[in-house]
Amino acid sequence: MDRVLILGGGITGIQAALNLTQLGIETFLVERGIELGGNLRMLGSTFPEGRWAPDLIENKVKEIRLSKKVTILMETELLSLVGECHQFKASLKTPEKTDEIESGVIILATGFTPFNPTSMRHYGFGKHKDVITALELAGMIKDGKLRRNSDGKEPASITFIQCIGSRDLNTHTYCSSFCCMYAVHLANLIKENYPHCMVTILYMDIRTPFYSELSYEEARRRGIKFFRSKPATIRAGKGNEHLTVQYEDTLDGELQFLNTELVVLSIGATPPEGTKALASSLKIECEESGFFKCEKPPVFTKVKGIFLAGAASGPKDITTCLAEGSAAAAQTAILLKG
Amino acid sequence: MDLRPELMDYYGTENLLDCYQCGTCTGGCPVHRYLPEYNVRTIIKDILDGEIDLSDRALWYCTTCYVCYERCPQKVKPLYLVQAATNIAFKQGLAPESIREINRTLLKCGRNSEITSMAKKQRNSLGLPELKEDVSKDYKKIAELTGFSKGL
Repeated sequence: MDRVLILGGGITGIQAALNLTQLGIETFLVERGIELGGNLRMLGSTFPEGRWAPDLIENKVKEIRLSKKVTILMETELLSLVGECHQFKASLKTPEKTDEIESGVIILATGFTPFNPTSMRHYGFGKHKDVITALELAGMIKDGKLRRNSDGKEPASITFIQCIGSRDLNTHTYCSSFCCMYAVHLANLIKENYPHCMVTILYMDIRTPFYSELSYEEARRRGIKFFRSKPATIRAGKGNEHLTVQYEDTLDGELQFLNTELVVLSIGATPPEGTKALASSLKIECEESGFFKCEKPPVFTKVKGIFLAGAASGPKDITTCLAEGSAAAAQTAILLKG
Repeated sequence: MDLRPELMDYYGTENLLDCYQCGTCTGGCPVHRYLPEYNVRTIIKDILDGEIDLSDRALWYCTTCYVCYERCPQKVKPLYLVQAATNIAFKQGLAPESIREINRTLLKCGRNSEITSMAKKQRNSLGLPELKEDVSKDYKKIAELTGFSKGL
């Protein structure tokens, strides 16, 4: 059975589907949401080189739609799976009916869900309107409308707080790996478009490997301030004009009260809802983190014929997701044609 | 002084090595706000470095409000580390004189302050029963069994 079922229509699934069609392999691309593109749909300019996310998705999706080898199923979920490599039988629930389809290989490109910081009450998310997630900020910058939710004014100062929902035993213990890079990138974009805005980043460790180190360097040159600390609390100032971030600058041991007009929480990645249930129905395992367990990187699981790609096996940046989408497509081709 | 081997015998100190010095504890500490010489994070750092000064008065400033305990992202339980450090300091006779004084009084009469004639008069005028003079019997026993008296 030379057919491939891809679960997840984000950038990883799209990349895998695109490569498989280029190899002439019939593919079903299954997405449970209403649009292709996943988390990338919310972004504009992406790190490190500033690729425009909507273009990245559009170009690939256009190519897939032109191909006769790909069937895109929207608002569809996998109900169950039986069989083994070369002869899986998947039952899919589409909006209209339940479909049985046969496939030789399954690629899991289920991605991640952005962390919801409402549980972190001391940071006032959901309580103060001007405490927002980095995803909301990315959306504002994408639309060219950098505004405070409370009064609609352009903020004169912005403070990023790193490691929200990452490296924290109360939420998720792992490092989400991309937050430092997007925070530095967003801070640079703010400085480019709103040069008078004061930007501060409160970090525990700055992790900007490879070329993102250049963005970090650029950020420091632009006068973006970096203080090593995980803040204790965020309080609203008088008349809600500003927020006060209370933190200890751990490099000099001084307690600081930083007034800022907008607080941005650099949220990490969490496993999407239903990951555990999906793992048990596919007879593969999950990591302690809750993401699928990759037995042999980059793409192998315990079960022959089921591959992982992108953030399905843990938080990853776009470049790695694209690489793993292609890797999964290549391994699929090797398995089907070999 | 290197407390690390000894600390492991104390309650709630098992996550000491997980501390990544983020400063959440000190940032929210109500004592640090007014007495900057009390810094939970640097106390933990000194313990980790094996060079904590047990005669430092600031170790005793903690009010046990549990804010650091609640917020620590690594569940290091900073409060318990500080308490363990003060316990060890006390055992070694390094506690500040004021702390030792209170404990001497406790062993002497069973209260942390002696009953003054003024207090007796006030209780009398309010119609309260008289206080028993020496109730330290149990404390003395505990102090003997735990080696508490050595720290005085």
